Amino acid sequence: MSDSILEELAAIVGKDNASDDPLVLDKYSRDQSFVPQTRPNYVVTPGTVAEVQEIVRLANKLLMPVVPYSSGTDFHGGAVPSIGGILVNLQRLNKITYIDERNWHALIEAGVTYAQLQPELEKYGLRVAAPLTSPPSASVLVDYIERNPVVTAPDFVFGNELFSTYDMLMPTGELFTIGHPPTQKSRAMAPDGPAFDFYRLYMGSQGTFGIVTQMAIRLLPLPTAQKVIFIPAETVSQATHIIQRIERKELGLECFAFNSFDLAALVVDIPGEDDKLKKGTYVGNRGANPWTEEQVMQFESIRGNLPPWTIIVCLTGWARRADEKLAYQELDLKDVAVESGCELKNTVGAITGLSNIIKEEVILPGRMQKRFGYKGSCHGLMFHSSPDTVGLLEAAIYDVACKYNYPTSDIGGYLLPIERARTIYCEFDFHCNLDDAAESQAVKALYKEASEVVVDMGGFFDRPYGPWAEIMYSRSGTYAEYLKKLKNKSDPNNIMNPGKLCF
Amino acid sequence: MIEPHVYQAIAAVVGPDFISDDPMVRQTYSKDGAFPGIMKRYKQDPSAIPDLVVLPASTEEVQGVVRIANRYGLKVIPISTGANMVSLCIPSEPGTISLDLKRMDKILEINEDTMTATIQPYVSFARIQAETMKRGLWNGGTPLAPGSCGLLSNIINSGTWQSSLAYGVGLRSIANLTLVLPNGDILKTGSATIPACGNFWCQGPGPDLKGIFEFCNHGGMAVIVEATMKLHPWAGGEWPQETVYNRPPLPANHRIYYVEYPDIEPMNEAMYEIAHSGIGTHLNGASNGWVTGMTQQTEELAEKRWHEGFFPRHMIYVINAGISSTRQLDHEENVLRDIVKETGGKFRDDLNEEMATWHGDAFRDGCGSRFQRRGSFSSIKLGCGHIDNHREFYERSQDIVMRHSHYMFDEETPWVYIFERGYYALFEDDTVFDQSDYEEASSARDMNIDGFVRTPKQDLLDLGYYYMEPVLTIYSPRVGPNAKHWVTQIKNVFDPNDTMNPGKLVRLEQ
Amino acid sequence: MIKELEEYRHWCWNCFRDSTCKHVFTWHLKNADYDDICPTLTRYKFDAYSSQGKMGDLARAMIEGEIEWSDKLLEVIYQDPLCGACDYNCGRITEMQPTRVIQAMRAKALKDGLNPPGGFKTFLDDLREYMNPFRKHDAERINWMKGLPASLADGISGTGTKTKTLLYVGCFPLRDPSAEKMAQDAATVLIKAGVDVGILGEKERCCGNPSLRMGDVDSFHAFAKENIKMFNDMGIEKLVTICPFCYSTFKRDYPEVGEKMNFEVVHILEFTDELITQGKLKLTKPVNLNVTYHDPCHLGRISDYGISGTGAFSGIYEPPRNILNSIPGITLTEMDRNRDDSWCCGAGSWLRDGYLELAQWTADKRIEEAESTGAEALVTYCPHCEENLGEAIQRNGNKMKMYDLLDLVLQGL
Repeated sequence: MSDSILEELAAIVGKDNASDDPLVLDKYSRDQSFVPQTRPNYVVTPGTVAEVQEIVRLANKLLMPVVPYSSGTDFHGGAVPSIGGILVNLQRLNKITYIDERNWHALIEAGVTYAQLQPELEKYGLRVAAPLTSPPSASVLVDYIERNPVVTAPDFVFGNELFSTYDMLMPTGELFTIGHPPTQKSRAMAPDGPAFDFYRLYMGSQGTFGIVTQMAIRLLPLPTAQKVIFIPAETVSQATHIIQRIERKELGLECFAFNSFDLAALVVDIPGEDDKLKKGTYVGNRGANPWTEEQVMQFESIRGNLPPWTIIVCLTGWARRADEKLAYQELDLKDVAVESGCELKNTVGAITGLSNIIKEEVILPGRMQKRFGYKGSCHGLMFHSSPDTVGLLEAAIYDVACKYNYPTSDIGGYLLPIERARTIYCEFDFHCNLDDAAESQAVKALYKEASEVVVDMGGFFDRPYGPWAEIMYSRSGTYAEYLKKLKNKSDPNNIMNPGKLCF
Repeated sequence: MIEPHVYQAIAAVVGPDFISDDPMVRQTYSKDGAFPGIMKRYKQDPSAIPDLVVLPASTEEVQGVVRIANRYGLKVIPISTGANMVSLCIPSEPGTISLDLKRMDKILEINEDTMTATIQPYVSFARIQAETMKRGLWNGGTPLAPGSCGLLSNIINSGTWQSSLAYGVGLRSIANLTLVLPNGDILKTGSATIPACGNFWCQGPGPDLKGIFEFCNHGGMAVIVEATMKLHPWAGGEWPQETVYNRPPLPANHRIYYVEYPDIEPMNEAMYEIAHSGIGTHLNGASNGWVTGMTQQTEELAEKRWHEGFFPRHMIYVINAGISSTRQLDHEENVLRDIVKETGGKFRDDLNEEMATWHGDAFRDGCGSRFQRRGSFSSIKLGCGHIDNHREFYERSQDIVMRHSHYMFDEETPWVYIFERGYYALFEDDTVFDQSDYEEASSARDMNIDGFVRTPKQDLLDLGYYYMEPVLTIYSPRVGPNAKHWVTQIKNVFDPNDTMNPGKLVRLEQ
Repeated sequence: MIKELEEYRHWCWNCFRDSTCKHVFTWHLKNADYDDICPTLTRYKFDAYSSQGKMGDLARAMIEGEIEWSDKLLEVIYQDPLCGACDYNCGRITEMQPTRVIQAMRAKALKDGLNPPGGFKTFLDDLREYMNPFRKHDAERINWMKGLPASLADGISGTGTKTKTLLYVGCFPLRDPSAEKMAQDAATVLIKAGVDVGILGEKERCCGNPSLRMGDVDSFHAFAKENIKMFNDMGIEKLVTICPFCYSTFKRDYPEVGEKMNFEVVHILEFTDELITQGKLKLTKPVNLNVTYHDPCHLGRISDYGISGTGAFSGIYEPPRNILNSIPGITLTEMDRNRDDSWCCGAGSWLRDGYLELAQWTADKRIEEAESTGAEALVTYCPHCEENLGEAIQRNGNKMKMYDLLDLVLQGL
C-alpha cells in the first residue's frame, strides 16, 4: 500500500487525523459481535463536511472502500469493515449547529452523541428520544438513520418520525439534502422529498449509499410529571397481550418490557465502572469486562425475586396540567389492569429506587450496557414481530437454545411496542465469553440458527446486520436485486461500505 | 393507434370485455378537474386521450399488460379514481394505455392484531372506513376529498387531513407495498418481502425501497397492486347514521370545538400550544370562505354567508377523542380551555349546528368538496413551515392575488394544517374557478403557475408539493446540487424505457 | 325540464372526477361489499358508463364539437336505467344532476335524426304508434277491472267526473295479465278504506314517461299538456298514482312543462299510510313474515328534482316502512343500500326493452343483497321492480318470495 495515499489523506484532514498505525487499525477492526475481524487500511477523522467530501472523492479515484464510523456502538458489526478501505471516523463532526426551542428541533452533525446532546437540551426543557439499548456515547444521527427503535416508539409521532431533513453525502462527493427543501428560516419541516421519500431509501443502509453528515432531529419536552408503573407478567405472551391493551388506549409515553434477566442486569451494581457506563464506553471493541463472582451472585439474587416479565409504563405529563394527566391515565390504566387480570405496582422484586432508575434511563439510557458484562459479550436477536407471534418466536428461540445446551434462563429479553403495539420490537440476547473459543463457537452457531428459525416463523430483521443479511436477502424475492441496481447507479465503483447488506 | 397484434395480446391477458380502443371510451379518461387536463381539452389535444383503456383484475394481469407495453414502447398510466389536482392520470403523449384499476378493489385483510389493512388499489376511503370502524380501528381520516376517492393513490401522494395532527400525513400510514415493475417483476417492501413474515412491518430489509414509490412518484415507476395500510384505535364506536339531512351526529367519544380569533397571530399561538400540548386528534385553521363552501347546505346560502362574513375570519377547530376514556376527554377539554383563555380566543358553540357537516367530514368525508359547487378547485400556493410563518405565507399569497384578476377563494386566510404534533405546518391557498369559462380558468391557472413555479425561485417557504417538472428543476438548486439527477437515476433503474406515466416527473432520454 | 344539451355546458365542464356518482354516499356506507350505486359502471367497469364519463366527458365533448355520434355513444347513453343515484350523490355535493344531461343527450340524438339503439328503436316506434309502451290499445285499459269482485268494481266511479280523487292507474296493467293484480290491489285498498275514487278507464293516457326516457321530448310534452288539461278540466284535486314511474313523472317532470297543475300528486303508499294512521284501514290479521324492502328509484331519488341542499329530495321512504310496521307479524330487516342509496332493480328507463341483459344482471345483484339480510321475502311497490326482481328470483332459483306491499296490506286487513 502506497504511503502517498496516507499523505493525500493527511493533506485533507491533517496529519494528526490520518493513520495507518496497526494499533489504531486494530481498534477499528472488530467489535464484540461475531462479525469477522477486518482491518481498515487507513483511519481518518475529518473535522468538516468538506473534508469528508474530499475523502470520498479521493476514494472514488483510488477505488478504495469507504467505511463510515461514528460511535461503533451498534454492537453487531455494522461499523466493522468488510474488506478494508478508508475508515472515516465522524466523531469530530460533532457540532450542535442549533437548537430551536420553539419548534423542538436541533440540527446536529453525525458525531453528536446522546451524552453530548441531552445536557444541552435540558437547558431548554427538551429531550432527545433515545433507544434504551444505546449507550450515551452512541451517535444520535446514526441511531436514527439506522432505525434503532427509540424508547418513545409506542407513540406514533414522537417515537417514529424522528427527524425532518438530513444531508447525504453521495458516493460522488455531492451533498444532497433530503426532505422538504430548507429555507432561510428553517430546515426542519418534514423528511419528504424532493420528489420521493429519499429519506427512507438511505435509512438502514449502513453507509452503503453515502454518509449522512448532519440531520435536523425532532425533539420533545422533558416531563414535568412522571409516574412509572410496573406490571408483572408470567409469560411473554401475557406481557404482549397486556402491552397491546395498554397501547390501544394510548396510555403513557414510554412502554416496554424486560424479562427477569434484562431487568436484573439493568439494576445490578457494578462498582468501579460507573464512569465507563456514563460515558458509554463500558462495552469496548472486545466486549465488556465480565462481572465478578460477587456481581453474578447479586444478579442471580435480584433475578430470583423478579417475575418472568415486567412491563414498564411511564405516564408522562408536560407543561399543561401534568398531574391531572397522570391522574386520569393512572385510573384508565387501572381499568385496563382489571380487564387484563394484572396488577399495577410501584416496583418489582422489592427493588428500591427502580422508578427513578427508569426515569433516568428513558431520558439518557446507559444501564443496558451492563448486560454485556454477564459473560463479556452479548449477541442480540433484534427483530420485529406481530404481537400474536411473539410468544411463538420466543418458544422457538428457546428450543434452539436447548439444542445447543444454552440455558434459557440466560437469554435476555426486551420488548418494545412500536406505534401503539402494531408490532413488537424484540431483542433476545445470548451471552458468551469471547475468550472461550468453544463457547463462542457454540453461541455463534446458536445465534445463526435461531436467526433463521425466527425469520422462517415470521420475525423480521429489518436491520440486516451480520448473518442476517444473507438470511434476509436470500428470502426477499427481488428486493436485493433492485437494491443492487440502485447501488450500482449511485455508487458504480462500489466504494461505500462494500460487503454490507447485499452488496 | 394501437397495432392490432398488440391489442390482441393485451386482450388475451385481461379478456375481451376489459379492453377498449373505442373513441367514446377513451374520451372518458382524458380529463379531470385540474389545469393540465382542462386546458388540453380546450385545445382538443388528442395526445391527452389514451389510445387504450385496460382493466386488469389481478396482479398477474397487470404484469401481463405492463410487459406488453414495455416491449412495444407503449406508455402506461395507472389510474384508480383519477381525481387529483395536477392531472396526473391524463396522458401526455400518444401511445398511452390508461390502466384502470377499478377491478382491483378488494380489501384483502384487516388485521386487528397488527392494526393494518391490506388493500388493492381501488379501495376507497369510505370502504376501508366502513369496515375498520366496526372493528374499533380506523385509517386516521379522509383528506377532504370525497370518500369515494382511492385511499392508496391519495396517501401515496401525501394526502393530508386535520387528523395529521395526531397521525401524520398520509405517507406515514403506509406499511408495505407490492408493486409490478414495467418489466413485469414483482417487488415487495417491508416485511411483505418475506412470505413467512406477512405484511405487518413497514421498513426494510435494510434500505427501505418503499420511499421511492411514496410522495411524488406519480405512478412513474411501477403499478402498486397491493398495499398494507396502518390503522389506529378508533374510539367512536359504531358509525352513527345521518338521520337529519346534512346534520350527521358526531361519533361517540369525540368532542368538537370551534374557536374564533381576532387575528392570525393569536390563532397561530393557539394552534402551536394545542399541537405541542399533545391533546386532540384534529386541528385546523379555517376561514369564512372555506367554511361556507364546505358546510353550507346550498350554494346560494354558501355565497350569501361568504359575502356577508358569516363565519369568523380566523377560526380554528379542534376535535378531541376519548381513546382511553371520558376522563381523557375531560382533561383535554381543560387543557384546551386553558389555551383558548390564554390566547384570547372565543368558543363559538353557536356555530356547531351551522357546521354540523364536520361531524361526518372530519372522519369520513362526504360533503367536504362541496366548495366545488362553484366549479373546480386548485391550489395556488402551498407552503410548509412552522406555524409562525403563517403571516408571511398569507402576505405572499396576497401578492399573488394583487397580481391577478381572479379571486382567491380563501382570501381572508389560508387553510392551515399543523402536522405531527406541531413539528410543521402546511398553509394552503386555493381558488375555485368555473372550468366552463375559459378566461376564468386561464386566470386561475396563471395564479397557480405564479404560486407554484414563479415565486419559489425566491427563497421562501414555498413548496412544490407535486414535484413535477418544472418545479423539480427549480428545487434542484435549492436542495443542491441536482435532485433531478438522482430522481432520473432511480427512474432508470425501475423504468429504463420510460413506460410508466412519462413526462409527469422526469422524462428519460431514449 | 330537459334543456338543450348546450345549456348544460357549465355542469359538463365542472365535473371534477371525484367518483361520487359511482359509490354510496360516504356517511351512509355500512359495508364495503355494498358500495356500488351505478349499475352500468358496476357492470361494465369503463368510466364511459358512469355519469362522470357521460356528463363530464362525452356530453362536454359533444357540446364542444370534439366528438360526433357513434354506435358506442348511443349505446352508452341509452344503456342506463337513469336510476338517479348519481343525481343524489353528485347533487348533494355540487347541485348537478347528471341524468338531466343524459336525457338531453338522448333528446339531441333523436333531434339529430338518429334512432335509439338496440331494442329501443322498436320500442320507440311502437310507443309512437300505440301511445303506450305495451303495444296495446286504449280499450284494453280496463281489462284489469275484470278481475275485481263486483262489489269492489262498483266502488269505483267510472269516469271520475264526480270525485275529486282520481286513481291514475297507468299503463302497466296492459303489460300482461299478471300485472293486473297490482292495479286491482291498489283499487281494493282504497275502496276498503272508504275512499271515493274515480278512474279514467279507457280515457286514460300514458303519463309520457317512456317517451321522455327515450328522448322524445316533444311527445312527452304533448302527453303532459294533454293530461294536465284533462285533469284540470275534470276538477281533480288529488291525483293518486300507483306506478312509481307515473308518480315521478307527474311529480317531478310535469311541473317543468310550464302548465299550471291544479291538483296534488300523491302516491298510493303515502295515501295508504295516511289511511292507516287515520284508522280507516285496520290491520289486525298477522302476516308472519321476515321481509326486506326494496326502495324503487322512482319513489325515491327520481321522484323529485329538488336541489339536495334544500332537503327537497322528498322520497317516499318512510310511508312504506310505516305500512310494513303496521302489519302484525312483519319484521323488517333493511338492506344496506336503502332509501336514497337504493340499488336500482334494473328496470329503470325501460331498460328491459332495450338492454335486457343489463336489466337482469342489475336485478341479480339486488337479489343477492336482499338474500344477505336473511329475510325470507322481498317487498317492494313498483310494477317494474316487481317484474324484474321477481323474474330474477325465478331465474336464479332463489328461495326468497317477492311481495307487492299492498298485497301484504290486504292480507293484513
